[in-house]
Amino acid sequence: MKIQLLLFPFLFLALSCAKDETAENTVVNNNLIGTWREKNPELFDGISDTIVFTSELLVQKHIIFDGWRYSATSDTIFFHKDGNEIKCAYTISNRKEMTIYNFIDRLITQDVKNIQFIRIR
Amino acid sequence: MNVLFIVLFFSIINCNAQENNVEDYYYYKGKKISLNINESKLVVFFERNTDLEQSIKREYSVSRQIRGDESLAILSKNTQLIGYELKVDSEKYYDIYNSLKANSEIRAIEKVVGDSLPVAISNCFYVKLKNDSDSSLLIKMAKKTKTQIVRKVAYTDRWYVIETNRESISNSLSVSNIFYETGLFEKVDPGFVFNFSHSCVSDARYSEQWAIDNAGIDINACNAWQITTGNNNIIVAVIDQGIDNGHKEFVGINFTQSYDAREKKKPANLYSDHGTHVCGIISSNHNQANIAGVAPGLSIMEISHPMEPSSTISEDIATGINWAVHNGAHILSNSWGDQGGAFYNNLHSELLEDAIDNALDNGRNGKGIIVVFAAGNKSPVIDYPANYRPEILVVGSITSGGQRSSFSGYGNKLDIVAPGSDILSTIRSNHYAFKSGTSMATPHVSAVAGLILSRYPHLTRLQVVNIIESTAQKVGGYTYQNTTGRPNGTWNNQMGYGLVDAFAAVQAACTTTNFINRTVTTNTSVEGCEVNVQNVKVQNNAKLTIDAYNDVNINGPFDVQIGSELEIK
Repeated sequence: MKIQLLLFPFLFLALSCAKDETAENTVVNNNLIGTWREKNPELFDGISDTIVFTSELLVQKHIIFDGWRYSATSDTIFFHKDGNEIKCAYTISNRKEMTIYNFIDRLITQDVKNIQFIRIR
Repeated sequence: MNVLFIVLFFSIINCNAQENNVEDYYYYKGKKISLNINESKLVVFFERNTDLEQSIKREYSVSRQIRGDESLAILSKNTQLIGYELKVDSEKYYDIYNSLKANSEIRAIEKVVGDSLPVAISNCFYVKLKNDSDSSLLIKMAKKTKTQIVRKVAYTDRWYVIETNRESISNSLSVSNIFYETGLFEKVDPGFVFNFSHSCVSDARYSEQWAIDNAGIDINACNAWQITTGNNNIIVAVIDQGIDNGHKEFVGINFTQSYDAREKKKPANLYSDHGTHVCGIISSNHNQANIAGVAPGLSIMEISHPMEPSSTISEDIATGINWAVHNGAHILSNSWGDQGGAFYNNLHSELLEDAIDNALDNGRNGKGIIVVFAAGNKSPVIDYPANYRPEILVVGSITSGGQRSSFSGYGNKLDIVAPGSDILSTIRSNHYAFKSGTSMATPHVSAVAGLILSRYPHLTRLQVVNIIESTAQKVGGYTYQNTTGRPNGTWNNQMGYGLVDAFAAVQAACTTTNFINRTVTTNTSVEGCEVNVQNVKVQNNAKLTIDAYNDVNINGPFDVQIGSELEIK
């Protein structure tokens, strides 16, 4: 009986963590899911890129990441393909504007590209 | 009065014994003010002496020079007193202090106050007498403390300059406090070496350029500019998206012929802001518009390309590099790469690599071009082609706090770091912008390489790289260690050899060749950046050729007999 009492709080804690993580991912992915258009292309390569995050955790239409899979935490997107993983920090404000930090575009210049997108769908 | 001096004498002995561990303070308007001593800096004052200067520079990193007072009668007329502010290992601060103090050629060693804005303490301080008749008190105190009264301060009633030296009972600050604590004098002012000039250039937004002047975490450019801001015989090829060379910051800058690597013809084209930002870091003129470049005296060769992947990207860039090599570039500044490499599965281009090989090995008539590349922003990966050959100088980025920028690539291919976070520079149409990236760190190092070659253009690529690496500042609190394959000092895998130091590098670029106590009987040539000649005879119809890029100093006996010849180039 004594052992059962000790185990109970640990079990509860473990369940809580798992539940929180799942809930967080679900919320974040819902925020990401949709079609986004680059807001200020003139600051980078001049072309307004589109990026689509699907509910099947697939990236579409982007010049580089089209066909990659993704996952995300509240502040980081992980792009996966063929064992490669690229991670980028991101923020979303008002569900309409997203900045992906140190992202990538057509250019091979080595300045940091913090690219802003607006949700179009 | 005798009683007073007996009491004073005991207090002096006591003070001297505890010099290394006492609390440091000074008096201002009767109030005792504690001082935060910077235990990573010391100031030494000595009579200018080439051997001593070189020995100090070998052992310590010199962060700046302080002009010493030159009026003391004990100095010979041709002697100049010079102060060096040294960077020292804070854990060995007192050991180094005592070791320097033991050096009989050093006149005085003083402390530095403050960490964020360090202020050195002079070897001179100031005393104001209570009455004109108190000058005898001043003389007695100077004798007791083994200091010297240098002069009365002009246009004042009772202020005097006192100088400490190696015979003095303590350093300048402690002795000034002893003077004050006697109560014999109206005021005592320790000689803080204020930096009243605020900045070394007058550009309006200079204070936003942390990379240039940030009280410690900067590339030490102001001091380097006292020696050179670059020579327009030295050419930096900026391989980028083109440069808006009509920007007001580029007035007076020498842009040599340019080339577009996509169209394979002259002149260069302007595709975006990136190249203008990179070029502004190197070349923004001084004292005219808003910002100051690291080396505005250098010439810029513009090699443009859209820097977008194309079906002939390797050919394009290789052609641009080869054109720069063929047209006399000394340095290639490359703020581009393969964006992490993971996308390309570590692919290589032998065409591109051949061009880089040609620059490194055959450029500058075999002396080698200094090829500088950005490490890349997909930390921890070092991008291609930066990682292609160890002879490439690979540049990572740091923040104004001296930490590796989170994006900056690192690892065993990293050589050096430079400011790359939040860097203010030029963009098109006379505008300015802050940008971050190893793109921004790279031109800082390219410019320093140009300053080194401006000082002594005969250096090989390897010598320039060795100078940059061996003079780097060990910033950020990282552990720098001796590392196999890294011969130029201690190294860290996130910081390389450390933060590039323009001043130390420019100083190291020009060493002195001594030609002393020699009898020349056959044709002889002496070459060097600076050459010291002393006690030399040229005889037996021989010719002595002295080829010094900067100064030739001839001291003491020098005898060229009839039929023999001396040529100074």
